[in-house]
Amino acid sequence: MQKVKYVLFAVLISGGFATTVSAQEDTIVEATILGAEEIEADKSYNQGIQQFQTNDFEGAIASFSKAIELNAGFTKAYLNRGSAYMEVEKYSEAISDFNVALNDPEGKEAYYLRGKCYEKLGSRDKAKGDYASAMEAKADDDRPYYYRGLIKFNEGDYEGAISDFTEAINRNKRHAYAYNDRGSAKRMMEKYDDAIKDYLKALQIDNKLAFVHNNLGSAYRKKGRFDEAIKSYTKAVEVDPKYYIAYNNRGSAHYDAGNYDRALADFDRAIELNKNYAFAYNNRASAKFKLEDYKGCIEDCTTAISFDPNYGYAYLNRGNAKELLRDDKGACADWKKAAELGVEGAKSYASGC
Amino acid sequence: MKTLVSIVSFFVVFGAMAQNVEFTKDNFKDKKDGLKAAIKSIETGDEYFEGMSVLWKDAIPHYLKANEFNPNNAMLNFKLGACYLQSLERNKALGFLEKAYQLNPSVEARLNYYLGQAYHLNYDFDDAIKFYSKYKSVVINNPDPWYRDELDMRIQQCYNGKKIIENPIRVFIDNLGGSINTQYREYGAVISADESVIIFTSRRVGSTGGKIDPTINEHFEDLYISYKQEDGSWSPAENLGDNVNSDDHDAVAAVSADGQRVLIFLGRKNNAGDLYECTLDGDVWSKPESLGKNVNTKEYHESSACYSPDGNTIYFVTNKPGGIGDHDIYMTQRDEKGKWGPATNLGTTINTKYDEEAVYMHPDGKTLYFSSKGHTSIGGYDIFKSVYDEATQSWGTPENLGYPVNTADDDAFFVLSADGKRGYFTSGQQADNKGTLDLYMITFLGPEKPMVLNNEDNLLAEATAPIKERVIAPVVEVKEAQLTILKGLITDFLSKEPLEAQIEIVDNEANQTIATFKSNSKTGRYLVSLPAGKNYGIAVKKDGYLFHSENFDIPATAAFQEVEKNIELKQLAVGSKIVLRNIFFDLDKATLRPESTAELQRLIKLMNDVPTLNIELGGHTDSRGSDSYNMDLSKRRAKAVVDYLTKNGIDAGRLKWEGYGETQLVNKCANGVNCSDEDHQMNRRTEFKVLSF
Repeated sequence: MQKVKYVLFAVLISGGFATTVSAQEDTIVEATILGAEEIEADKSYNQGIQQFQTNDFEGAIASFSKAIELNAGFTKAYLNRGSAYMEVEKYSEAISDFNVALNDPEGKEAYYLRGKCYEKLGSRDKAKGDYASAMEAKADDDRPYYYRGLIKFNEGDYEGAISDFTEAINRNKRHAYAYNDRGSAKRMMEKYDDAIKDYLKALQIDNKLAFVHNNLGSAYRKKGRFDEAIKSYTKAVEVDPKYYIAYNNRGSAHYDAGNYDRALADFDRAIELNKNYAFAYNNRASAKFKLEDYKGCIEDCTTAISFDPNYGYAYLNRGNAKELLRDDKGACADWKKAAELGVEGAKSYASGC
Repeated sequence: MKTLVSIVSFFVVFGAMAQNVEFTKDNFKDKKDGLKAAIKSIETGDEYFEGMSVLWKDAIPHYLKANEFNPNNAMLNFKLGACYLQSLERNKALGFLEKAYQLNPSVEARLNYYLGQAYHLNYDFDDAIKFYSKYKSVVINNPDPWYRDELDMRIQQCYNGKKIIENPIRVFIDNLGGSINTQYREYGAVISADESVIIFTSRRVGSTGGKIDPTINEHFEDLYISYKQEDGSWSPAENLGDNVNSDDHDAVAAVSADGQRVLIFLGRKNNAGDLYECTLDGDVWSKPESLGKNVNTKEYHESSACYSPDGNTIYFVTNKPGGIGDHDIYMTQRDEKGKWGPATNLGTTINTKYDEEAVYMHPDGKTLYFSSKGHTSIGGYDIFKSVYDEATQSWGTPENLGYPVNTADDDAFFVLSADGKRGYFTSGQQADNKGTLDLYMITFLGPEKPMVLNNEDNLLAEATAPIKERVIAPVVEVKEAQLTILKGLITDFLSKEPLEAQIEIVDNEANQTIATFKSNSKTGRYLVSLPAGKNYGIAVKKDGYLFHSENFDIPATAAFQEVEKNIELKQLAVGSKIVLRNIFFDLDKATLRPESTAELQRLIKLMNDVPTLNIELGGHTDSRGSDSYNMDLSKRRAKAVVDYLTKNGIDAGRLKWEGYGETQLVNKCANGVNCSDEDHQMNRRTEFKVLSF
């Protein structure tokens, strides 16, 4: 029996948190008992790890495959090939490899990785099952809780998501993402004050997270605290000057506060940063409407519709502007179209035509 | 340096606080001729100013001449301001009154009152309250309660104005154009239910008799009519003719829903003004006929009136004693003999201790519009609406129509289209005013339609795709008038000539005739408005013709609709057939339902009126169910009608009956064809055919 000491290779961090996968490297301590094929297998395996580290994932897959060919019981090579498959988005192949890796009692990391693959393939229940197994395998691991929380969030189970994000935070007190996401789950439950606390905590851990500043701004906006919303959005665009979503949101906060000129300027900026951003055109149309520039409003709505022909709200808004330009037929046609596209309010407007 | 500052300060103060300059020789030593002419102008102006306030406007040119000579006389500025307040250029009053106050605040006690009015008209409600209150403190001990009532009313109007003006309603206001409006006064427009006819009052050149009303130096009132043209514009207004218009005051009050009758106000010598009715025969209006002693009084002012949609009730305004305020709104109903019965005051929900005027009942039969200086008026007369609640048999609290329809000045003579989307009113305050008073159309846009903004956030740190956030706008109920307008032409089936026929509207469930109308003898046109919530039988009758029967079941939830239905009446001839649309049977049975009574009675009347008439009653079903079942059902139903007629005294020898089942469908809905309930309903019918007469 070969005596091989496995050393767990560092977890690769991407985007501030573990989104990619671990590869593992062998250290050969007693070469005397190994056959020539096993030696080749180990070499290929190590080459695969180097390739993985330099983002040559196809090369890594080839190397790990060679290792497996030479040594069919090389479960770590399966684990690492699975990780490489994940990088090239071949999740089914990755799952097959993780299935083999899980035969090794020390390969339980594969639960977490396979869970992620299932999640990517839309098999949320299987993913949650794997995350639960990962939690059993390693009780202090915050990741399965965090990712199961994401699944629950996306399923609309915000209470379940909050519970999992809390468990993740309990295991990692500086988990800024978990604070942000827990804040978002609370926001979805319209618990804006609680959401604000979580966003602030996330920023206390890392104040360079532009999206958290943005989310905080939106929670303030929902509460009608427009001044604080505008300050938060401003921080978001200071951190990320190309963050057009935050400009669009700050414009809405100005709009809600009744400052239509400022709103207009922010929507302009959002459009400058993303010329195809239908929301910003629609919102700029609304600001122009309030400034009584009805023709400008119609132009912007028309542009928004050109980007998204099923944009019901842009039809609704364009109808409102046409009404005030006394184009009753045009207004009615737009409201009817908006109603067809499922905009509830448009039905009552169209019924008056 | 100090001296220079003192001199500058002196001029600043002097410039801001001009001194009162009297028209005396001492003040104008070098301008004796000018002084003399100015004093003469003031004296001429005073002749008007000392008379009735309606004539004060004629003092203005004279006072202006004197004011040009000496603009710094407090009393002259006071008089000019007061005169402008009585004119249609009221907005010019404030400048003169402020100057008068600046020159001498105590030049006249009434200055406070007029300043209050001028600020009020300029929507400066706080200053208006300040000056009204000052004047109230001056007249507080006056034994005449009018002063306190008047000032309390105006102060309250200012408080109302502060609130109401904050939430303007969304409207377009359009001048009705040169075919209607002139440089003279037009007012009091009324419209037919389908907005095809407008009748209004004008004091234009060419009024009947051509005389000038000496009391206000304007032409006497006449009635004019205009018709909506195909392109949507109004035809040039025509004088309503000598039958209606006299060389005295003739003003329009109301037009019936079908445009065939009008209520008019006639001001005659020795009478404060009465209400009359004229009817249209072809294209000629009848001579006015007084509404009678239950409506008109000799000593008091019956000024405004309107019809209910069925024409059987009139709402009118009078200042006769016994009311709640001065002018109040009353109602009267037509009795069995067609006379107008005793008048009833509409009560304290509608009438206030101040004046109510310009009453108008919407074609929905339950929404009353009127003008009032009371309730929540923001100044002068404001337009209000109140809805009658059938369940509680009471009027709802009057609701101010809102700014900018209602202004700080008088707003009156409001009428509303049947669908509730357009109103017509009189104003002298709009920007494009063609003369002293013009007629305007208001397009109501309803509550603000909020714009919907869309936003998104990066809610989840891990996710790169933003999670969409959507904001949904609240629903504005468009309140729609719940009524159906039925209109069209009645013609002879063969000659296609228009017919003057009687149109009888029956509430089938109550078995009551609600109203009878006539189509126009010249055009054959008719129009009836049917409020939602009833099953209506409509019978069109004319001697020598078979009657025509229609059924309209209009559920309470039905939206406004306009139905064009041309009707051809068939002369009584062997073989001619009519469909009896208002005969109803229980489901799958040959039992006549009570709602059929009116139609059956009409049939009996026809049989009695034409004793030689022999007919066949034919039963028809739709295609649903088996052919044999339908054949049997139709026979039994035809027989049920025959049985009813014989029980009611019609000789059985004159009646035959036949069942046709589904053999004579009137549309495509045969076996196996997918059709709506309405299409099947067309086939389920009872027909009668003339066999001989």
